[in-house]
Amino acid sequence: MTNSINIVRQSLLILFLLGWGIYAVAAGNNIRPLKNILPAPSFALADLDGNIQHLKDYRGKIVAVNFWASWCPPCRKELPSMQRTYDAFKNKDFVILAINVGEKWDTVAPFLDNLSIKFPVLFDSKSKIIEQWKVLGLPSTFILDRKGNITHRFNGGRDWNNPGFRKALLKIIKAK
Amino acid sequence: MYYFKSLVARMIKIGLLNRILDYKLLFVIPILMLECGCAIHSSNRITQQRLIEKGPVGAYRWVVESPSGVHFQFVQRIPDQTRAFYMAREFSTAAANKYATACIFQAILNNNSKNLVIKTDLSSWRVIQNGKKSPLPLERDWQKIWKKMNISNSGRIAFRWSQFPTIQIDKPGDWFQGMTAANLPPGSKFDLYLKWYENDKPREAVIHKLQCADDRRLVK
Repeated sequence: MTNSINIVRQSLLILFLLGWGIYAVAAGNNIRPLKNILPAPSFALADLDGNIQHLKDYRGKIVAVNFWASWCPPCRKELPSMQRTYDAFKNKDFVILAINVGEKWDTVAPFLDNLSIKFPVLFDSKSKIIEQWKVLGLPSTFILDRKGNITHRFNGGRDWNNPGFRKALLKIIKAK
Repeated sequence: MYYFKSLVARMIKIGLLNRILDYKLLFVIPILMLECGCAIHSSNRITQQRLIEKGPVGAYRWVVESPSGVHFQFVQRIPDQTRAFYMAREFSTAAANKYATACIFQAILNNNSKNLVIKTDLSSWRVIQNGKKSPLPLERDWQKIWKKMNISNSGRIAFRWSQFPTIQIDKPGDWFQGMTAANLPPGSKFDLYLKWYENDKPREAVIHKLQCADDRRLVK
């Protein structure tokens, strides 16, 4: 009798903690759709190799546009998890365009090299594009559908490796 | 989370947790879970202030948590930290020093609520000292000063984006951090009046006895 009470006791505690954990993970990493879907402002920015990248060239893909700077702690924290998510989803018509705000090539390039970042990184040296996109702070991420509309937006860094986050992103990628 | 912790503490105190775990009050579990959820997401309860943890460089942190899941933190920035940051971003020594000694905090706002849109506008916040209320100097106010002090465009861009955003609109899961100034001398003590909106409903709180970091050398 005592044994079975102990088992029930432990099971209840595990269930309670599991429920709480799932809630905490889901609450912190959701990607909520925007109520008003608007076309993304266009841009043409230089990448690390000096080539000009046009946003319109990525039509037909799901695009995550991320604004960041190397001195911004949450930006630094989320970049490696962004790379791993990019690696996992790049064959699913998904791309990340990380727009660095206000920094120079010789600051950014070695920093990215250290983190082995392979997705396209663009330079908004004069902070013009970030203003056009009405960004409030760093980091900020926008998700664009295949037609170039902004469908999702989130403020602040995320753990892109979080299973809840990945699942939500995959759902967006798979949506027609 | 504050309510969850205090609820568990209360239950332990009155022996309720033991009774639940003794299988006699199993039906309480779902009620308890519901209670925790309500406590965290209710927006009608009083905001709680927690004090004070010491950070890695000896800086203090003030934490304010509303039951609805809005979480503010204010972490002292030692003037040397701030001087170093801006001098590495094309600020002159005089400009970096002017800002670093204006009582800088790293402010962090987390929207941990389930379904609230949080709006903040720093122009409605007030520094309260000796009964006098003063607005915080905003990012745009500092920019005018930096322009007069001939800070480069690159330096001013770094300043712009390293500040706690003047206006924020945060959905659940969103968060931001950045620097903000109380514009008081190092070591000053003050209260901070905060105002924010939860789904357009105004909320307010006063954080008591914040203290600007002393101007001490981090590197000798």
